[in-house]
Amino acid sequence: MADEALFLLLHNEMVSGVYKSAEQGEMENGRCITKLENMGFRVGQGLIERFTKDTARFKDELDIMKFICKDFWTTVFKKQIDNLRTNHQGIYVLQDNKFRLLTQMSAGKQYLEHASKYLAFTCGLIRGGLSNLGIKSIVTAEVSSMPACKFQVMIQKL
Amino acid sequence: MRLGPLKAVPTAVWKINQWALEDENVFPWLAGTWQVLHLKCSGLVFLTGAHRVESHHFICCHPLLQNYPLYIRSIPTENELKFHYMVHTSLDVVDEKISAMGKALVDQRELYLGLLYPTEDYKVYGYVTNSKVKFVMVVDSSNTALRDNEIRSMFRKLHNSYTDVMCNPFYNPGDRIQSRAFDGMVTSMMIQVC
Repeated sequence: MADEALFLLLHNEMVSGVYKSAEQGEMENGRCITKLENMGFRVGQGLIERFTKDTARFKDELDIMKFICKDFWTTVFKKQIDNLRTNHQGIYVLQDNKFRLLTQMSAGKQYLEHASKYLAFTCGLIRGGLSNLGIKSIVTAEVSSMPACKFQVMIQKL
Repeated sequence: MRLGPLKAVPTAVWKINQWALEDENVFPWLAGTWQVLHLKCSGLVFLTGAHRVESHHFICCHPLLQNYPLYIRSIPTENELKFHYMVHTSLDVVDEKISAMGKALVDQRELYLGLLYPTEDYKVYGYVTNSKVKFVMVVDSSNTALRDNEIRSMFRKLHNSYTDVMCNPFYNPGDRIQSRAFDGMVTSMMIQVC
């Protein structure tokens, strides 16, 4: 479908745009990830506001995580998270075996070092969504072989 | 006869005082006004009988960031402080309702909280979004045209409009809402009801 492709293309351009502006000396290279993550954060906040507009109130934290894995992921990435695990102490691992933003790259380990730039935005997306639902968190991503990846969400207790 | 709201007075005043102390930068006018509010509540706010004008009052606030108001609006504008005060007291009732709701069944976990408390002249309604933004509405209780369903649909409208504000990239979450579209929507809703 066209709208899926648009999101992928826009995201790719966004990443390369941010990195290009870094090369031209507008900011240091290390800040690119942070910048992408912050962009994701704001987008996540807006998206979750819209997506939860007509849903019932959430029961607890796990309920919210399930919403992120199912509804949120389906709307943004057209598929659900494949596996959600938790230690019931504030750590959640979301595993996606075929993550959309990585499917355009060749599978395997060849471009592994570049994967992080394509995950930063999504990390921010999750963090922003959770923060708007009242949960402070730290989100990190991990790739061992493309296009599978894991997002680890660490909830920060207030 | 007006035990409900009066009982809530001390904690609310204390809370306002707390914020004012902690956050004078965020909310400077509260520091000055809370004492006035306190004086008023003993004799004026809940016992006034002279107010038969249709009145409305809206507020949205973000509790994660200390419950400060994102948007307040009232018609008529005289006696505005009284409404501010009513709205702030009702925040405690909102919290109570939400914590009681945690155990309820799915279909009962609605965003609309219903009537928070009635006073002689006004009715206070509440609504809390999933993102924990509280909407409080005060309406004249003599207005019988406003039933639960109307109030609910007004809140839906308010929520839809708030969502649009949130999705505006030029709006920083947590700032006061200054959107003209939101303003216009609230005005039209108030005029329609009055």
